[in-house]
Amino acid sequence: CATTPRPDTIQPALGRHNHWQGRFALRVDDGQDQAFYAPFELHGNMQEAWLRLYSPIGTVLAELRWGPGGAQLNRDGRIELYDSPESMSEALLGTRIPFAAWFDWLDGIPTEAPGWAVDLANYPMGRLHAVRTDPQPSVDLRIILEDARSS
Amino acid sequence: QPTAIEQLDAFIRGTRSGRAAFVQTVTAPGREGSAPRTKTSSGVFAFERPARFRFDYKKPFEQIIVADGQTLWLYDVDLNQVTARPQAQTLASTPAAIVATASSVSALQNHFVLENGPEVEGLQWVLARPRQAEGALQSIRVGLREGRGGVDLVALEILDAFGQRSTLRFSDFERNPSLPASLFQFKPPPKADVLRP
Repeated sequence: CATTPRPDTIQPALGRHNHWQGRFALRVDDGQDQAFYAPFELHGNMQEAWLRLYSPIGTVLAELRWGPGGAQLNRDGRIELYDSPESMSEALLGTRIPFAAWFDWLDGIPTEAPGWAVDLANYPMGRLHAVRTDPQPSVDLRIILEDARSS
Repeated sequence: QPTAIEQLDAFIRGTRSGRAAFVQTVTAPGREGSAPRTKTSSGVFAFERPARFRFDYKKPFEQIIVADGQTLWLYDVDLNQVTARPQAQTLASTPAAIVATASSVSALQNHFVLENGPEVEGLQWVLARPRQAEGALQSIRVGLREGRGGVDLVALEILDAFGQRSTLRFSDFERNPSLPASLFQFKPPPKADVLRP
């Protein structure tokens, strides 16, 4: 049944954006309940971007930046360098985020990512759900998009 | 005229429990020429010493944070997900410790360097800097005011290591309300995903 979108959820305008804000919940089904939940803000594109993860009370938990010069994770007052956004996300979240596809998913485009299946049926209500089955352990990624802009 | 730190001590000793509505405004420093952006959320905050507090965020989305004395629960209603972490691990040097769980100013001074800030907007401000320098927070400022029957908590301002400022303004502060024990107990809803990273 088609659920009517709740008034306070956004209808992300279709088209390409370069700034997104929302919350994401990541669960790695490895029996150790590896999980990560945070409000986030993402700005940029696959070539150059920053991703900030927030605590519920609004402080920045971590900032991931990447660009031509490389990838940099800033948290707890220290900076760690990585060769790619994917390896940086693995260090922080315990799993490699397929950023190339993620940028498309955030704009409602169901781009393939090896080992991942994405469900954008509820994208009009700002809801995204992606599951990785290969490699194991499986990973469940849920995103609620609160705002998408092209600033 | 008591100093701000003396006011904070009076607040801690005079309020066994408290409840207030809050508005939280987060101001991110302008990045590469873009204007600073602010994000506002609001809800109700309650606490009971020594170790229990609760944030009920209502807007822009529903989120519940409960510290029940052992575990810190974080429940995002839309995502239907609960994360539960040992409270001790997260609590000592967080803003909540200053207003809700510290037993005295001297106990706070184990984790923070406290200073009397100038009086601003009719509030007495205590500046607290975490002793653990490498942490995620640069400083916390607590805004207090003489209220009826004691000192009222009016504001909490958190400056993190990235220069992001989160300000909580409290209103309708109730001193020592009798709060049901169930308020600080969290039972995950049946179909929610409960994770203990």
